[in-house]
Amino acid sequence: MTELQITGLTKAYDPGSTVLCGLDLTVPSGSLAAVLGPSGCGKTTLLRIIAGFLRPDAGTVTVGGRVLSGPGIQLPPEQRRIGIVPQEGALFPHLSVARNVAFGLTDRAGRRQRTDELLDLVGLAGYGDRMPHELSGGQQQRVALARALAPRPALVLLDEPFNALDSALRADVRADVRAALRATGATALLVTHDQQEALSTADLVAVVRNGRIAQCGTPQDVYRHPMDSWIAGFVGDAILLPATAVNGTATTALGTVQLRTPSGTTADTPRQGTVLLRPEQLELTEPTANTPRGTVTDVRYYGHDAMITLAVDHLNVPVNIRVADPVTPQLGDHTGIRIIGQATLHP
Amino acid sequence: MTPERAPRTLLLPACLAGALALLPLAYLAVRALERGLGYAWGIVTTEHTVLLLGRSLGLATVVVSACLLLGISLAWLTARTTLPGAAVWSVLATLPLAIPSYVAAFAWQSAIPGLAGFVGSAVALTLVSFPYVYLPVAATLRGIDPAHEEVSRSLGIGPVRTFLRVTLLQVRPAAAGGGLLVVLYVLSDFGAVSLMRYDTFTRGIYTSYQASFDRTPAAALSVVLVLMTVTLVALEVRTRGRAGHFRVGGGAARRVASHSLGRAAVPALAWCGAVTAAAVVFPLGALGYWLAAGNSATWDPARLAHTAGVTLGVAAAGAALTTVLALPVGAVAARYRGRTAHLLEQAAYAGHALPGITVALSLVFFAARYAYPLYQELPLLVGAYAVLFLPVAVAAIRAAILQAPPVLESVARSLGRRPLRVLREVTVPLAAPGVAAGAALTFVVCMKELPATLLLRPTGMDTLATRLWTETGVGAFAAAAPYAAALIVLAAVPSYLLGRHRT
Repeated sequence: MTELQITGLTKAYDPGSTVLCGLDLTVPSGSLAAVLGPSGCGKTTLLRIIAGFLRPDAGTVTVGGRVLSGPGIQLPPEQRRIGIVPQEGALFPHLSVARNVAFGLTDRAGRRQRTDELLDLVGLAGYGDRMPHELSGGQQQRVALARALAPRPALVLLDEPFNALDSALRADVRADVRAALRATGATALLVTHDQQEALSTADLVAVVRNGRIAQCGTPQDVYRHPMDSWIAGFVGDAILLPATAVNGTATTALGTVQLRTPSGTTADTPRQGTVLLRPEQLELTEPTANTPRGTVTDVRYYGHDAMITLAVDHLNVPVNIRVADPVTPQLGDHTGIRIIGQATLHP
Repeated sequence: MTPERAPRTLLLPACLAGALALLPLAYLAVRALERGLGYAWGIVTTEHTVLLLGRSLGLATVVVSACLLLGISLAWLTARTTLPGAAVWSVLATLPLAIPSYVAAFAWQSAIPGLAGFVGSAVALTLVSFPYVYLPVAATLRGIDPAHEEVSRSLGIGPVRTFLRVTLLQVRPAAAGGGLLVVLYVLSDFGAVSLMRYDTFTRGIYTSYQASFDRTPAAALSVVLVLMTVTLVALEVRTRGRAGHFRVGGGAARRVASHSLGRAAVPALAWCGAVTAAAVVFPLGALGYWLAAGNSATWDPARLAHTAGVTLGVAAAGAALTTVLALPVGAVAARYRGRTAHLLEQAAYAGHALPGITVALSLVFFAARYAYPLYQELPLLVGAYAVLFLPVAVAAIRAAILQAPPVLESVARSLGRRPLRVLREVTVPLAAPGVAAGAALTFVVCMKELPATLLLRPTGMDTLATRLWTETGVGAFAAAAPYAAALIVLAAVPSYLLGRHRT
């Protein structure tokens, strides 16, 4: 078992500029967690503390019950059994691919076999004699993963490893990395600022804000039930509408929507708040007298779907709606709007 | 980013190197004060000492003034005017750096024996050290924004007054930094002043050491000299720090316009030609003359080959030890911040402020008392090279390690490597070209070293520099010439390789 457990992690580089303030995070054994946050939220600091390159001011880090950092304990990086996959791979430029992968293997006898095994795992069998500069960016990244996995680490840390890759390649490498991690059963932590990457790659998404975990859950959970409007906007496109809730139904400028948690509002005690909707929760309808209406002001076509921007009567912000191909609305069209599904009322 | 604290296994050897670098300084003070503060003070305040001090400072003042004149004028002509062949002149202006001061002194004295004394010392030292002013000033002139000069001209100020009031002001920090290096060079120099028989502090220390069994005067004088040079180094570091503020806005704004020389091109060319002739052509010519004038009595190929072999051997040993000691210091200085790393770097740079003669003396004293078997043995000489040239190697290694991405070291640590093995398996291979360059540079300066070699060499051993010094000292110029030539040729090989490596 290699569960990662972090409690009360605090780190300040200078007094007064705290980077992490009491961060708690648990990653179950064998799962891939994404730490998602804007730049400067402390996610890189978190990674470096886990790897042992930084000493936390307070808090503990344990992997599989073994305390790595804690009161009076600070294991050096080489004793932690934590593999790292840095940005752009950071292969040793003076060593061949095979020697890069074998770098962390101390057992001479099994070294060759283990190296071949891992190159095979990442789909680069036969590339052992190449030098790093002879590989493409995606191949370098795979070798970096193989190198990290070779000594059978308790935990693998991936620091925005797909950033340097072009978008076409990125999805492939991401899928391969996930498959390789699954195959070895390693617990892994992926640091990223890309919400699509976090949602599509990880089993668990932890959103970091101001040195704390703002929300941690499955990708679906975080996307569908964000704890607040900031998280909602950070993990995806969000439409925030002022609303009045009565008896479990919220009334907005785009019509009424069913609330997930009725929270005891009655006709006598209405509540004001903000309702969060995703662009795919809105549907275009024929404009009729009793539906909310809008005018198409922009159409962005992506191929598999399109984003339509509407100016809605009685609403001073534009509304984005995602529609599947074939896309029929044209600029200047008048249309009706309907809300599908449920929503949550945020105070 | 790397770990905030340097691991102990790296810090320990680095501290050892730092302590070694500081040992001479500390021991010198101990030795000077051995017979009481009053006794030492008495020596320092004698009329003789004050005379030495006056001569050293006087020589430094004259040399630095001449260097500023030569350095700034050549820099402006090559960097900012339409001087024909500016690129060639700018290379020629840096060549004197490769000529040891005692070779220049040899050349001048052999040609004009009457020059010995103050004038000869000043001429020889000026002509070898003006590149210290030329290089930073030329770099600054190439980089400055011409807008200031244009504004000045548009405000009705003529070209000469614009040069004095605007351009000169802009190069002032660079010129001041270079000037301080020249003063440091003059105060530490032993080769030129001893051959020119001009009693400055360094020669005074040497004479006092040779003449008397009481070693306290030599130690006390050394302490005064070290205090002067340390003050200068501190000043130099401060001006370097401030110079940065003079550059406003990054990036090259515009190509700097060149002033048309017009009819002034002829005197400008004559000036550049005269300086180059005196600083480069003349010493080489004198050397050639004495080589040709030599006969079988002055030429002893077997002895020359033997001396060259010995020189290469001790220089290689010195460069090897210096590089090994500099590696952990350079790694700590490049990768870690904090008080310890900073102190360590400062300690390693101490040698930069220590004249060779003082380091040699302190090691003589130290060995005579605590390590007698080492007294006048090779290890002590090699140790002196390490103390003197640690700054050269540390600076090169630090720069080389800064070029290697630190993330690779993090990866190696995470794969289970201890810090020292990371240094050996990752950092050093990556930084190898720069480390090799640092070692080669150290090798060259070890080969040219004179005062420490004179004092610390085993009895009967000679390097090219000491043979050259001895023969010139007795006026045997034809006998000295082959050693000078061999020294220049041998030093030129690594210098040439270094130059090729950089391009």
